[in-house]
Amino acid sequence: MRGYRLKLALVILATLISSFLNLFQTYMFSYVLDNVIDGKPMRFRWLESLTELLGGMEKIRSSLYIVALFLITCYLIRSLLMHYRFKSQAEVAEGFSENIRNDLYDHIQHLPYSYHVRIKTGDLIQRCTSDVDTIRRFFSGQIEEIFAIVSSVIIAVLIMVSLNLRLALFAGISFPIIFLYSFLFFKKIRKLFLASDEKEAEMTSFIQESLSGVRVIKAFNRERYELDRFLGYNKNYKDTTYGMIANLGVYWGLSYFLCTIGILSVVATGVFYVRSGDLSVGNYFVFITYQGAILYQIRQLGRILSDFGKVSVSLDRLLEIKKEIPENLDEGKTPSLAGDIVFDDVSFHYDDDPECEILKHLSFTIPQGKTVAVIGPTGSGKSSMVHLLSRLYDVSSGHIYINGEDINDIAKGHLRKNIGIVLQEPFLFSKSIYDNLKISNPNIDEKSVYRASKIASIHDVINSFDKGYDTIVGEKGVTLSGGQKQRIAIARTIVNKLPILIFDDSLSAVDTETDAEIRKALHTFDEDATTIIITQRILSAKDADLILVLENGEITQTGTHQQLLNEDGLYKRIAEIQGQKKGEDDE
Amino acid sequence: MSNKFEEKEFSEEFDSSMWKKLFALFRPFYKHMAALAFLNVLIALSDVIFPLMNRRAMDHFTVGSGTNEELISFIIMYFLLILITALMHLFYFRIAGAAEMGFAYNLRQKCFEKLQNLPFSYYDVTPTGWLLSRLTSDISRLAEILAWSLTEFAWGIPLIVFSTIVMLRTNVQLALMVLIVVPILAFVTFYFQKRVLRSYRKVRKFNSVITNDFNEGINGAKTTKTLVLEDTNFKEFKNDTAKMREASVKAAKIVSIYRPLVTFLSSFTLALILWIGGTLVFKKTIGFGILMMFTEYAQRFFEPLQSIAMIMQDIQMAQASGERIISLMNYEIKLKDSDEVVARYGTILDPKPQEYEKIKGDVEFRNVDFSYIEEEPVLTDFNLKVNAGQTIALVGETGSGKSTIVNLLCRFYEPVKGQLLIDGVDYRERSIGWLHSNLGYVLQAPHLFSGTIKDNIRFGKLDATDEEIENAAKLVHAHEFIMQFKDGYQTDVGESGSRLSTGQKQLISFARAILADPAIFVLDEATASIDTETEHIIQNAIETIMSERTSFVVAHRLSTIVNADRILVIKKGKIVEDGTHSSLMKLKGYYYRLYTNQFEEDMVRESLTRTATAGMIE
Repeated sequence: MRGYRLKLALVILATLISSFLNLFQTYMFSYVLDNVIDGKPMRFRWLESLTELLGGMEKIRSSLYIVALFLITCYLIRSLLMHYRFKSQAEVAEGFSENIRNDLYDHIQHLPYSYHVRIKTGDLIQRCTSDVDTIRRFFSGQIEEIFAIVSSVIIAVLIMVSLNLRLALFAGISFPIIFLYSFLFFKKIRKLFLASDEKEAEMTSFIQESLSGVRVIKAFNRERYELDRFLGYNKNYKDTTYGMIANLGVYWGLSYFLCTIGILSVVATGVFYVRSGDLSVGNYFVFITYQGAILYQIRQLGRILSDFGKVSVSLDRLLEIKKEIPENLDEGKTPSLAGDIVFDDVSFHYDDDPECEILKHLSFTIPQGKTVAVIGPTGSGKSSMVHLLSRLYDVSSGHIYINGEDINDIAKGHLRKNIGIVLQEPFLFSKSIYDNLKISNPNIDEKSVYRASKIASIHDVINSFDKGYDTIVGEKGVTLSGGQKQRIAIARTIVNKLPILIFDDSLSAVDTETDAEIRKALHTFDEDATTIIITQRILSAKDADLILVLENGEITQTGTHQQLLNEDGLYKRIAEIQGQKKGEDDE
Repeated sequence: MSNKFEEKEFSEEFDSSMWKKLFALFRPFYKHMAALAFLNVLIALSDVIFPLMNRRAMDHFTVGSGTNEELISFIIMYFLLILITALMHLFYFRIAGAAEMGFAYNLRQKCFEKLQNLPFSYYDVTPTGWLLSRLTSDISRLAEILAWSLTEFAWGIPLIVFSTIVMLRTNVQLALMVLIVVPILAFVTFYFQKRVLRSYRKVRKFNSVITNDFNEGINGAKTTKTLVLEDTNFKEFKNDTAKMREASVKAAKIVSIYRPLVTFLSSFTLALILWIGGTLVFKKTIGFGILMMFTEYAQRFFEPLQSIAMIMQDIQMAQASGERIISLMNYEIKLKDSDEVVARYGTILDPKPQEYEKIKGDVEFRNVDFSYIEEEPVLTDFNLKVNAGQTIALVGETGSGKSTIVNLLCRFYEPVKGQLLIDGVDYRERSIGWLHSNLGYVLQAPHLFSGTIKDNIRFGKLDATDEEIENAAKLVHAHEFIMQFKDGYQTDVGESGSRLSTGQKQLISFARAILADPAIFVLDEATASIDTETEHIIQNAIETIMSERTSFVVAHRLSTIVNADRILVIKKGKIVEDGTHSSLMKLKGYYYRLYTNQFEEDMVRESLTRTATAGMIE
């Protein structure tokens, strides 16, 4: 906001001047009527000065266009000020909200992994969009509007008081009534607005669900049933919204009534003051015109102020996000990561649940360039191991070293750039497949992209799409299967040559033959990479240089396929089944 | 296919045939429209009368010779006028609101009915999002414009006409001063309004880009972290927000010229009135009151002009929405029951189930040809005869045609040539409802609806008792896990069943199917990685369901079909292998290879899960 303070102040100043000029023009009518035409003595010193400025009363009286020209000049200034206001308030509000958006986005991107696991995405997106918009709207007009109205009302009341105190008091009776009515009404009706929105959302999600479940509905012959249910939602929405509109009708009717009665009161009582000579005709005109303008503005003010609470609520909701501490990706060393990976007595539990040890005193070494498979049941802690290695979470105790360096001393960005992780459920961005593939390295050439997708056995699949590599992910008509997404994610990770590759069950949706192909291709592609394969498939694990069996956060077995075959344990049980099958098929 | 539902460009030309259709739909609200138009004319009249009243107050009562009696009746008149106008505002809202919501309600009902009648082929090529916007935002917009905007003509035009008449009759010279500016004002209004709207449309577009950015940035945060895309993403995002700012400021700049210009123009008239009118007052040709009246009229000319310009824009928007809705309503449904069938069995939405024949379960494909797209045949002269009660497994690669066979059987599509006989009768001689009410269908991705578990099972048979529901759940071994929930059968499954695991959803969808007690059962089998324990349970469930009814299984997991009566291997729309598990294993063909590969993996998975501790299963 800081950079915009001066500009905002100028905008408000321009607003004040132009509302003053607006009132001034009405007053000039009174001046012409009373002083110029009727020849009444002038009430204020400044009117005399103005008369002098315009060439004296005689001159004005004979050439009335002088006043007209003077007025036009005033209007011109006012219009220019208005122009400045509209232009600048947009620059302030849009620039400010651009900053907020950028700041939020950058902040959220840098919030730790645990934050993203914890939050509800829908709520966070809501904050980033509609709450920012509430603040934007406040600065792009509302705040100026409040100043404009308040200053107009004050100036107008001052003028009215100076013209005729008693009539001004009489006129003022309706101000608080209209303000309070408007303010309280919009406070109250907000509930109805919300109810209507809610019913609409309910109806929309019903339609949405009904559309996505259309196969089930048709197959069970439930079309009539769905229609009846829909009509229920449809009717609820209709009735709720109609109730809101009917309430608004009462408001507009009643507030119109109050405003015009306010005008009538001035029109009627003014008559007596003019008759008794306490009020000039010109001033009577001023009273009627001001009263008309002010009342509607006060009505508007009540409405704006009733919305005021929303701005501070939105601000609080955004500040809540800003309170979270982001991670620093650049702080730390940036050594080469081509080296052994050493887990030294590593334990891990989530911060909010210290009782539940996910990993318990793990110690092992993965020599550089080797392939290690980690096998174990769901929930055994396999994924947590990966998270620790790339510092998506930090170890609770113990140390992890890569190439002799404690990873706690290595910059997170550097670490993650060098460790290619393919998640089980990868996220693809809604860009073309090609852009997705080169996302971590925008400068990469076409050949490398194709090579990576060939290794991941996805090249032919991509080419089979109408638009090939230009297919936009998630676009209408194109749905990628889980296995295809996984393979694109693999390709995306291996476009760069990385010292460490981790596949976190990332071939689970790929059939076994393709799985084997990919692993083979990978191996020939990059022999120096240290590879960690997390899997439930023995086939994927069996060729690894080292196999770790993880159960309940502990390594229960380590060794090669052959070694583990000779031990009692989980691995052998699996292997026995494999042997049984082999015997049967003579493979 | 992907381009088919790109938003069509709609011409800016007036499309009268579309409007005719639209107004036919709007017919029940003609009386609302008439009332609104009438009220609008009255409101315009009162807007013209108030300045006249103020003029009278000034000319007749302050400087003039009005008596106190006259003044009292004047005040009463004024008050009554206020009261009547206030009431008209109130009624206007109520009537317009009733028309808007009533029309939207009717149109939504019609569209939803249409959706229920649309065949599968339509849903296969139409994105749900597209249909959703038709039923929500398009209808809302159309109803709003028809109810609120169109009749505003009846306010704007009379207001201009009435005040022009009053002004001309009062003082021609001053009237001309006001009217001289009107064409310029009109031109400015129409010129800018168009540009303002266009520029705000652009702003909205960028706004949705930013929403999408946040959406992706937040949903993809984990991937972003692992690939260290924080800076790349931020750069792109900054680019988008900068564009958003530029577009918004540009739009605001247009407004910042437009509005002051309009203000200036009407102020200009005021200056003219002050000059000419002031001179006339000075010469005592007119009274103060007339001068005041003209200032009021001069300031009120802009509003109706702006409203007319707005309505023009609204009509264009309504036309675009209208065309999309009409295109949905007019979509010709090819797959439907013949008139004779409808006469006998009723329609989909109004069926006569008492007329439905019981299905025994013999199924025959006789010389069936089928293609989704012309000249790309999927099935050619396909023949298959299945006896009631048999279990048929369909095996084959993606695109081999196995799903097509099921789609035809379910009459989601119909044969292009040939016949499909159920119990020896061409199924087109019976109604779609007849078949579907005898069909049990379980999808590979189970779909549940929001609501409780009980609601979801009851979907299979709407009048089922709690006991029947429980029995169905017990049969497929869903009862056990359901009872583990605190709320049991009353457990809320969340949107699309999101609070349940895939396996749990699958079991509930089985219970739903078995409750329907279908004669023919179709299972498009799950490939999803369900944990092995659940898979065992599901396996049992499937066998329970399939016993004693004609069943078709599109199989991915071969272990589930070992006991099938017949296994058909489908390749390019042809049956290449046909037999039981043991006969096909002896054949050592495609099925044999597929089976041996999968078997190994299954054993491993099973072994892994057996060692998983009970505590890990939530």
